[in-house]
Amino acid sequence: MPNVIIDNKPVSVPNGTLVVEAAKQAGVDIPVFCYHPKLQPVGMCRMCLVEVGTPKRGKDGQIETDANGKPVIAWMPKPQAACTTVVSEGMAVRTDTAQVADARRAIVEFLLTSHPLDCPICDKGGECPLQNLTMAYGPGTSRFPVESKFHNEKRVPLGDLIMLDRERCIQCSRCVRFQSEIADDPVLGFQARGRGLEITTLSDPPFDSKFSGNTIDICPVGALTSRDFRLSARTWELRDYPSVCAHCSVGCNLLIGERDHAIKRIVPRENEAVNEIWLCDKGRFAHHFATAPGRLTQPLIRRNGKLETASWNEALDLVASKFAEIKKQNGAHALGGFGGDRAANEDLYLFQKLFRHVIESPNLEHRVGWSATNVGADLVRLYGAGVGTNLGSLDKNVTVLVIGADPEEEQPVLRLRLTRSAKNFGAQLIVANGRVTKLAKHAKQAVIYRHGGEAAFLLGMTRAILDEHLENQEFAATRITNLSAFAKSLEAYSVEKCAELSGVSVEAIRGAARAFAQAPNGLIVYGREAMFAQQSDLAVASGIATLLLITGHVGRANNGLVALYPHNNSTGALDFGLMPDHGLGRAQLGVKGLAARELATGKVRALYVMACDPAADGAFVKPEFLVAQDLFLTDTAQLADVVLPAQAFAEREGTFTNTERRVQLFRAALKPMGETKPDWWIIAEISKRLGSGWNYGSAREIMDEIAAKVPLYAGMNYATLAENVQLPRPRAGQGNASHAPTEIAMGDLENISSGKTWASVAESDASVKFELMWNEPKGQGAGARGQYTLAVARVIYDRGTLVSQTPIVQPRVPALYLEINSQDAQALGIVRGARVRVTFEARVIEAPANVDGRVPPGVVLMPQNLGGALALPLGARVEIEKV
Amino acid sequence: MLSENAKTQIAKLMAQYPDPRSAVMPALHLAQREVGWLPDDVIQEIADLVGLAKTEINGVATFYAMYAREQPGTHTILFCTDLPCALRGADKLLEQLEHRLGCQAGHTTADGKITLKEAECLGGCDHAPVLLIDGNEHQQDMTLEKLDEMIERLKNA
Repeated sequence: MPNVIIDNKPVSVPNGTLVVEAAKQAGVDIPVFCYHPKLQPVGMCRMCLVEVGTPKRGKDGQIETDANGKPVIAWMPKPQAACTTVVSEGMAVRTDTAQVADARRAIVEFLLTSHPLDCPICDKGGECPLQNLTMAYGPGTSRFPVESKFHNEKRVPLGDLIMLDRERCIQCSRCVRFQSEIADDPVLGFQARGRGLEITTLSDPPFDSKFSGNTIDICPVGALTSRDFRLSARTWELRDYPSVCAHCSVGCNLLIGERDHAIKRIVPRENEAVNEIWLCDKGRFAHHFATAPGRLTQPLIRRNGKLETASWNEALDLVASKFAEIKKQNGAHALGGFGGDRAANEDLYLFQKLFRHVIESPNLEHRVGWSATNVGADLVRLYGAGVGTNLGSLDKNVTVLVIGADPEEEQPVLRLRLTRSAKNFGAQLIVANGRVTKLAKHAKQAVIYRHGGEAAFLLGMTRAILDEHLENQEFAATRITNLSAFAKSLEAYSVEKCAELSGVSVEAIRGAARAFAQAPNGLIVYGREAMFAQQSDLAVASGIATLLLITGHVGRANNGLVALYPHNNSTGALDFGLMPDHGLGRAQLGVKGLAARELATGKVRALYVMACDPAADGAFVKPEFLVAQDLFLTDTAQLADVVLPAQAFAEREGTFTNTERRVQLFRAALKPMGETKPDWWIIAEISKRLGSGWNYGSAREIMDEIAAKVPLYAGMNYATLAENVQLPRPRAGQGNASHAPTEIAMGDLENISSGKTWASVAESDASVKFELMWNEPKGQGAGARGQYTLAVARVIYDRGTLVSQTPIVQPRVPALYLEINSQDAQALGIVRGARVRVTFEARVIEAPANVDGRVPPGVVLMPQNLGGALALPLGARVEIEKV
Repeated sequence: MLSENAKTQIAKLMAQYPDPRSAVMPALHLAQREVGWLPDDVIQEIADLVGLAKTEINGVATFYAMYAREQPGTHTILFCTDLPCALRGADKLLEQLEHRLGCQAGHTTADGKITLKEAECLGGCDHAPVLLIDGNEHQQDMTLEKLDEMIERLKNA
């Protein structure tokens, strides 16, 4: 820990700390443009020049001291860049001298020679580092006549989302470095040099990155602006409301910038444990659904076959009386509910309470369009990653097995954080999938299994660990009941056999097994393509549980399972038991309600559908009485007898639980549209009319009840969830964790809260013993008729209701396509863009071909959420032909 | 598109350095000698070969003046306008040359035959003004008559 003196203030910082960071700890602010705490320093802008000196040593090698016994400092002849100078023992730094003031003034003056004076019409105005530092350190006037200013192009679209102003650019390269260091999409670069130097993108489409919006935030001038927000408000007129993203399950923290009851923009809110200071472009730009003109604003009742507007009382009375009538006639089992996993915890809790305790029906589901046979609910409850796991700063002592996941498309910010862990902190990634995914680039080991072979691969790893006696014997002795019997039962499955079944080499299986078992910490990240693997989902789930248990990688931070669920509150829906066989707190139930497919195909007389759209998946049979509660007139709502208009996340408060089981609070930012009501209010009103006597005044009160009644959520009331927590911010390359907040362009630091994560059984109860079990891995080939295996994946920009409301991202939504390997394409005579026909049993889909090397030969990939391919199962054998 | 031979040469260049990115500049030279200039697809090919992003290769190719990112004419004339040449009347000569070619420095004649570029010192100050044709033929002590002769020769070559 070198001791440094900065402006006469002594401070002790870890080895390798940069002067600019050490100064923050001494409470001295050094102005910067190109330096950013999340990026590698480059020393390009020279704004951070300071005087630096080190203790002078005499000929005898001893430090010379002055009359007062203090070391004599040998000052370097010229100022040094604080962002690239690393501290050393006894170093002295001066930032308050005339020389430093001169240097800063000169740099600002130099930057301003080619910077326009359009602050009054610049989006960055009011939160602009150049504006602020010019006021603080720049010369009051310019020595250059205004006519001699350098002019350049002012409106250069850098892709669909970002506008570049070349005049305003000060060439700090923050955007270029963000794209290559953090986003891992090096699509921005410098072109030419000197006065001609400019930012360019050569990708097709331009600025092809899912993280492009972050360059707006870190741009220290107004060069990069949002094409969505551009010129629509001044930043100081916005009111920022802390919220949580309503798209994927990462749960990025954000601020809604509101003005005139509209969302003007969305920017990230710092949370080092979830999204650091980043957002993906979907989270940032695709918010227009919340304020879309097509929103439902009034209750609707079907009269004479047509949906007509009605009052809340009419609609609620009708729903309650119909529910009561059907229950009386056919019993509670004749009613069922779909509570979508986009709704908040408060809504889901009340929804299940309505069904289980008021209506007394077990027919509850939330999984629309995804397999309902997965056992993820139990896996996560038992082995969920330990509290305190930070996926963005895992180090070399952590091995992460990522199986069947494509976080780049489904949980973009999580992909970015896993990449950061691998690239900057040395986490060992094993990325296993049936195809090449973006995350594999930084994997220590990338495994491509044959689709359907994921369970065999996991079983092979287990077998290899047992063969080489790499299991955690201490853990096995105290926490596992049946290790030897289990090992014996596996005898028929040698590593060689598993290799054959999975299509992965014996060496690769053994390598992955060793890396996972021998690591001090092990995490498994388990994605959609493994969760919903055809026929093998149970075998995959037991394979994951086995691996975690025999290696003892459970119950501690950086150990356990992260299951990547599709929606913002899928975890909450599991937590509150919106499942036919699990209740509150994921407790297994004796009674079993109807499965999702049965609910959707008319096996109940009345169906209450909240925040999801089962009819959109086809094969939906309308029950006698259908209630739809949503933001839009969805396919389900169009069939409904009563339609209840709900409020969007931005109009109300509530909590979401992210894919890491982190419960996070979001606040209301907008005035509710029309007569819309929060989901919890609607459920409570129906319940009251059924004689429940409920009396909830706010979402906060419901969360108080949850915090008291649901052990997983114990103590998680709004006050504790909103607690201001600032986590250490591990730095790339410099090795020291800074506690100073990362420079954020907007928002108050009081808005930073890390949320609360519930602990898995393995972690919270050390006395629980576990039993190992396994399921036969169904190798591929059974009933295989087609030539090709179909991989069904999800893409970030989909054709769903939410994304379709944001025009600016529409160019990024691809038309349905079929991805095929170039070898297969050549054999079939298919060129890029040619139409191909996919045949599965009686179903035929046509789409243009996208020829590339990401899917292995013999596999074709079709996105699931672009319409059309919905009906085809993952891992199906299909025929492909050229049209 | 680069020839297989060029790709082999680039692989050899990469092997000469501890970091393959060091091979970018010689690879660009090699590609330019073969193709005549550096179109987008060649930039992409080099990026793929060296394992860098296209934007990074483009950054290098546009930073240095001797890489051509635009298709040049059949012949390229680099015309020195540095101090010693200027003292010997290079600026006047350049004006004349531009007039006779019918295009400004930095551009190519309408018939696509000759590209004219202003250049920094070409290392022939004792015989200023000097110019360089196609990267290998120095012309020195330039006069109007010599320019006419040269244009005639290049147009018919």
